[in-house]
Amino acid sequence: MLVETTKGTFDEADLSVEVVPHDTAELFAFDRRYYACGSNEVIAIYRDVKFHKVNPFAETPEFVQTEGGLVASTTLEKTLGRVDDANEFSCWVEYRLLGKIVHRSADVKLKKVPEPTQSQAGGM
Amino acid sequence: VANSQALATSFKVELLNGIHAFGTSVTRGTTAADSFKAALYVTTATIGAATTVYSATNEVSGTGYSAGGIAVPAWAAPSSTGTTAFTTPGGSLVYTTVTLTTAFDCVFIYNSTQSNKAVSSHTFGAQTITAGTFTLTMPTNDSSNALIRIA
Repeated sequence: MLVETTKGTFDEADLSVEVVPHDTAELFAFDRRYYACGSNEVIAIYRDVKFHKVNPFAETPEFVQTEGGLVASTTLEKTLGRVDDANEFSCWVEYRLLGKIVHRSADVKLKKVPEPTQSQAGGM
Repeated sequence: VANSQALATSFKVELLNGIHAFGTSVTRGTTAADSFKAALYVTTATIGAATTVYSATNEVSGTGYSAGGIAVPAWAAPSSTGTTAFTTPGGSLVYTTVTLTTAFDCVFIYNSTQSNKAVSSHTFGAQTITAGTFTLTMPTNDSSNALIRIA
């Protein structure tokens, strides 16, 4: 496979490649960073679109529902988390007020696929 | 073409549609699809293949959550690809504005039309919810990923 880089076009086999997670609040993905052999200079980055996963909680609302009612998000500490393994891709968001969790939501997508011949149901 | 042993693929789809009854069956008053529900269970529960019917034992409880869980969205019309029959709910399972402080890691799907008989159970990493929404997103409805598959 040919790879277009800042140094020209190379066969992938002639480059060093490193797969690194692109982990931001908005998006989970994997980047393939290409280096010229013997160099630490990144000459191309390709995002693996196959594994793009958008965090459904990336956007921060103006107000957050808490057990005490709606609270302005500016007064809360927001934390995003995720699990991405063989069984599931899950995202969650936590909002804390003075260190106490006052809101937590989660979105779980199961992806484990047991063999149906084992009389099991498939994963979500 | 030689003869071959097989469970007819059409039969598998028809099982999902309730066409065949090898044992004593229910009397159906309608051709409508059954209703299904989805209940959540705490991490100490033992829901699995041996679970035959819905039970409130070790079901989650908390603000905004009703015992028995929520209705499952209408299932996709059962179909098949290759020799695998399959179907999946047509939408996510969404538990809106709930507080579930005891960790849970299992959703149990059952037939509320047919005496709450078990359909399937699915596990995930333990979760808690605080004044928030818990969403279970359905997989792609195909022969490899569908929620219910008969191969």
